[in-house]
Amino acid sequence: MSFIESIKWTVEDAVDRASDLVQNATGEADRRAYMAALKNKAAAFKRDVSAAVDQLNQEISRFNERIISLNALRKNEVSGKIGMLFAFLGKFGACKPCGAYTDESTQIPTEFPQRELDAQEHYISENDWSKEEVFWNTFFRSFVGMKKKTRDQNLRLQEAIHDTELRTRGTLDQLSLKDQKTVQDIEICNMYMSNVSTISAFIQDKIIPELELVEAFFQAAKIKDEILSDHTLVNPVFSYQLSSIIGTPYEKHYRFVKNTFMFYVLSCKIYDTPVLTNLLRQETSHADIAHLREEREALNAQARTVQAEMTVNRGGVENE
Amino acid sequence: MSNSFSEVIQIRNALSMQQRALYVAAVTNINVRNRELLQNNFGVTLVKNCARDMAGEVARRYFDFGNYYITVDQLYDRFVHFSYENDNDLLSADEGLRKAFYNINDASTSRELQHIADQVYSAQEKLFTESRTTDKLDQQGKQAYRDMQRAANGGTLYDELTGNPDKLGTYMRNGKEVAQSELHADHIQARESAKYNSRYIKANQAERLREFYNSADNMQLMHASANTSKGDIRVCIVDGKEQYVNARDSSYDASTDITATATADQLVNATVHQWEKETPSGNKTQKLTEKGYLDDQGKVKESVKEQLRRNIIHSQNAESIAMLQAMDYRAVGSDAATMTVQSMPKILAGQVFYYVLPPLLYEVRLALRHEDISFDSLIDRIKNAGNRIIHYVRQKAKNIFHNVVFNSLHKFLKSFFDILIELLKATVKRIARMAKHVVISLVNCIRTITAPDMTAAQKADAVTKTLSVTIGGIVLELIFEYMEDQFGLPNWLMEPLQIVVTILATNSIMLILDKLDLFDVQYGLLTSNIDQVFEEEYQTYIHESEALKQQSRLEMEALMENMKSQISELEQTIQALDPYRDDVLVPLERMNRIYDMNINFEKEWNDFITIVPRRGESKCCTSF
Repeated sequence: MSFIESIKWTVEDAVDRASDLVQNATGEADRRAYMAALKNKAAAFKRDVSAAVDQLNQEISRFNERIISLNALRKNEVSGKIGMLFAFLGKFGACKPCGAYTDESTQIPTEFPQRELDAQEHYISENDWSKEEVFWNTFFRSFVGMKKKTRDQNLRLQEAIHDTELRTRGTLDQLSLKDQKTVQDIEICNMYMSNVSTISAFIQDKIIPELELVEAFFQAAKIKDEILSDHTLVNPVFSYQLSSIIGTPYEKHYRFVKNTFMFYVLSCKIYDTPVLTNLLRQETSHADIAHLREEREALNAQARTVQAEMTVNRGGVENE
Repeated sequence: MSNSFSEVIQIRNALSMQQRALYVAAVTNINVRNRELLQNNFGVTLVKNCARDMAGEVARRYFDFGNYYITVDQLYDRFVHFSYENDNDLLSADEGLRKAFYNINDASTSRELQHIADQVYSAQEKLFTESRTTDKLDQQGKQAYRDMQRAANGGTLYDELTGNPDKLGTYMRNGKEVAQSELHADHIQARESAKYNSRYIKANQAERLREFYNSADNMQLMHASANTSKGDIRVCIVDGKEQYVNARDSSYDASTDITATATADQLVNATVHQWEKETPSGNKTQKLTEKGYLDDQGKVKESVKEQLRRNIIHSQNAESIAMLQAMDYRAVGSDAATMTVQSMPKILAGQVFYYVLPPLLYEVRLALRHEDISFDSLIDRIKNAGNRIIHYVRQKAKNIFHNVVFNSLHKFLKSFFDILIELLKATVKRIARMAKHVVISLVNCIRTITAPDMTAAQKADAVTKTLSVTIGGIVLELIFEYMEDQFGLPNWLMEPLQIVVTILATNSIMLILDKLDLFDVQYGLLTSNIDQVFEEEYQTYIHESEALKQQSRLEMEALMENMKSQISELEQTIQALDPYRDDVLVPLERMNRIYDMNINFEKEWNDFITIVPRRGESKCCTSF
């Protein structure tokens, strides 16, 4: 190093050390530490919340897959049967047609709270004093003035750090709750699908095979009536009075028709209404919460008395 | 048990909202507590401190509590608010600094100052015991002065009071004409009334004072008639009033003579009194007017008064310096030490009040809280209490020792300086007062620096405050001296005024320094408090949030289990149905409720069977 360079280096070194001394006294060193900590917290927010959002979105896509399966079930299995039941039931009464098919909705994936992160990064960039800024401010404001300014800044940074930490925690908690919720939704969806399959299978196995038979019965009865009342059997109209067979040994056919009707109505509902979606999307008001709390207290008290009577423990609601 | 998923969903929603509420509560709490910490109660603190200091000062000055080195309001605080955990040691805090500062000056009516004044007065002795005519020093001094003045003014003598030049007259001596100056070289502070303090100035040092009295510093040239008409005027306090009596008068009483300790103004007034007095014979008034001493109305001119005053002050200052040089400091020290030793009982008593009584009162309060006071349990309790108190006092032994040492030192220095101040005059007296302030403040600073339990920053802070307050105090003293001079306010008004202004200024200075917080003491405390608040609220939030999550998980699991078992039961039921015999409505209605499907089976059935399809028609269905 040449002589001049080494002198320059020494001077710079001395100036640095002097400014360090002053800046430690004004609290600048603390400020830098706080700033670094704040940046760390912001980075942690970004990292942890991203991870949580990703995990949540995975659950949501699993949920959406189930919904797609559910919709396929509804469209394919249920719809075919509805037609046959409708044709059958139309002969016994005023059968309303089913409504149009409606999809069960999928859930939208959660977005990363970019706005929050942006606000944090904006705050950091606004408040990160550069070395030059600090130097000129100290020069113009004098030692005492700079001390006050730095101190105020440090207090603000301290608050910002705490705020970020708490916000991170709060966001993570909310996301984990949503995660739990989604897992639950998947379970409920599975249960619904299972129910729908059961209904569908029942209709397939126990109802549809009997349709012709029951209709044949009524036709025979009709013909019998016609003949007995001496009408000609030209183009008999086959409409059937259900109530006529009540009280007769043939009541079971009446019951069959009624039961079939019930299954029809249910199937229609499953087909044209997004039952699951409506169920899961319910909102709760504050009044509901209060009411709910009372109900739960009552139920829990009941459960406890019941639990006390039982000799073998069964899964009850844990309180506290 | 719940029989609908709808309930599960509702409970889930409620838990989510509760979670949110916890978060909002944490944020709100933190904000509120931080606002409290950051609040600036400047005005309120100022008023509160001033009021307490006033009470303490009044008690200290007018009941002479200064020697306990504890003030009444400090004691009250300790008695009422003490507990072992909440041990607010006020002596080392800002309060202690203020009280130490106030304790530098006692009330003028305090016993200590009276005692000093009496001691000083009783030791006053006449400085010049031989007659003037045989005193060689007297004549030599005067001659030397005349020569000095002549040399300084190019051969002529000037009347120092009027500025007029000497008029030489002639008189006959032994047949020769001899020039005679009409100016006399006069002792500014008269030789006859000069006194010295035999207690603090040894007899062999008194010579120095005699030399002073005859030196140029105590000489002035004035007109002969002015000099002679002065006579041997003395300042006396007769029946509490200031009177000017000639020592040669029959009414003169030496025990009322205060000339030796009179102020410059008093001495000027005495001289002026003589010059303006009507004389039954002679042409004194005419002569004095002619020579420029009196104006047309027979009153002494302002310029003459002023010059006289200045000369007296100069003389008194020079005398004070000579006194300081001649002083037997060992005697002063030993008197100050005697006074300190006499105050030791009170100093110790003060520490006892401060450190032993509060825990004692606290224990008594604790003991009285228990209602079942049987004799045995009382003895036990007293023993335990005694042990605790002894333990506490032993803990505080360092502080007690520290306090006793520094209070004694404080008392010694205070007495030392008080004696000196009583002896000195004029400007030197004022300077001595300020020196007292500075020295004692420095001792207070050393006390702070050696205090057992303060951090370095706290000590630096305390030292800065002490020094700032001292400077403020000196400035105030100067202002008050000036006011006393200019406005001639009586003492009964000056002293309370001084107390009030001092307290106000001291508190303001200290609060301003607190606000500036040059050593980050307050700031450090603030940041650590803020951190603590956050930690508390954060932990509370985490704790409650976890508890909520835990509880909700268990509840949800139970609910879902319940629903699962209901549903599997339902499915089994449905699978086992016989459409010919069974009524499917019951299980289907259950499914309706479980999934909130809102199907009204009854209504649908009624709509179905009431309308029978017309003959010839059969309803067509829409194709799928």
